[in-house]
Amino acid sequence: MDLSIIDITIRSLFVSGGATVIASLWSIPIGISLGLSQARPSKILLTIINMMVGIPTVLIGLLLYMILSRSGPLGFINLLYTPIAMMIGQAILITPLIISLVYEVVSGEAKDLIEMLKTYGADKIKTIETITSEARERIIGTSIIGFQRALGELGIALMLGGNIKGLTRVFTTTIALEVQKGEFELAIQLGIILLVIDLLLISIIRVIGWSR
Amino acid sequence: MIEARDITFKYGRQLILKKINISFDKGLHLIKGPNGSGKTTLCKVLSGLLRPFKGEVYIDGVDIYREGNRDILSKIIYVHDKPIILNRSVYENIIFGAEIKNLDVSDIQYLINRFRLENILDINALELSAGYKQLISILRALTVKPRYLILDEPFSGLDDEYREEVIDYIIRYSNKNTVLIATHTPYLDREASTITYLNNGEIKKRVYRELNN
Repeated sequence: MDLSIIDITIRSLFVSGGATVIASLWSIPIGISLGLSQARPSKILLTIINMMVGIPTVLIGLLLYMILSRSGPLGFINLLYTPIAMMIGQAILITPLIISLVYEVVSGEAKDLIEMLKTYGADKIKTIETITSEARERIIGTSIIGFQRALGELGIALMLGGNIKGLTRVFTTTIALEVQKGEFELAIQLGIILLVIDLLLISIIRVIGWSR
Repeated sequence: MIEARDITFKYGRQLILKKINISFDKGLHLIKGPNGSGKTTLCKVLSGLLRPFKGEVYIDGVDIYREGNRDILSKIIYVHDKPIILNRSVYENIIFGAEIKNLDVSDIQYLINRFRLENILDINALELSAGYKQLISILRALTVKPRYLILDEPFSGLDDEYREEVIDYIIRYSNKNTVLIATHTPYLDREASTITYLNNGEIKKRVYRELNN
């Protein structure tokens, strides 16, 4: 196998995996809190978050490009065209998706469980602890769905990574470049790997019960 | 005593309970009515789980929905019609409520023996039949010995043998406590102190055992 394929595969998994871990760190607690909250502001916040689920990746790319470019407010940290910038962009992209899915798990599946905890007088910590423990597989499933979304996006990777060979080149940017060059062999090979990873993730999600 | 005063409850624009006034003293009380009549909603409102749109609920004279009075809810337990089973052993499921309330679980052995659960205590409760799950859910409530016990369709999944035993236990339990059961079934009609019939969110009729006899 071409060494560049291995390089691109590892980098893609690293960038999107990192983005998923970062996004999960804040999205899961926010999703659980929104799922448990009955307050009106929470519902309004959730509506806004749901609207952001389908936000075009190029918009996030553009916004972060303006912030991270040399003349931008954070230009001095020199993050543009690095895997870290791609990671941050993808983390922002999948944040609304993970929050929304975790909310769905907590408010839907766990609604009766929350009532049961309430009737026994469980405090907030015990409630969160029990819900997280009982719904852990499905909550992990939300992160996997987020990972899938990050891995397959192009706009952010292209605008913030710049598709630099050996540094920021990932599945989607390489496929796009190779097709533009009219060289389909590498594009097809990477496409198949991406598809296999996708199928693998779907299988994991199914096994852990997200699609119940 | 648990008392509902002028309870009105809405889901969106749909009125589920319409100005319900009712009280329940020590003993066994049944709430009956067709599907969608408001039985479950009334039970949840009385348990402190659903805040009514209008009206108050009092437990021993304390308004449970008034800020600062939520402690009174420790006296009441609501058991769902669909058993809530945790991904844990049977034993852990049964003592779950008592653990939250920091109660002594040493006398739980009596319930375990009585319902012959000794051999399945270590099994994951999710792997059991619907009947066992229902039983576990009821036993979880009984281990905390609530002063007010509200059961929503508690007999739906139980087989005949367990149903008779649960009924027998609940009747005895209601001698010292208030037990409210929302049910379609006639199993406890003779033993109930009162039977309240709901329809379309309103009390259509209330029958007292003294009047029956």
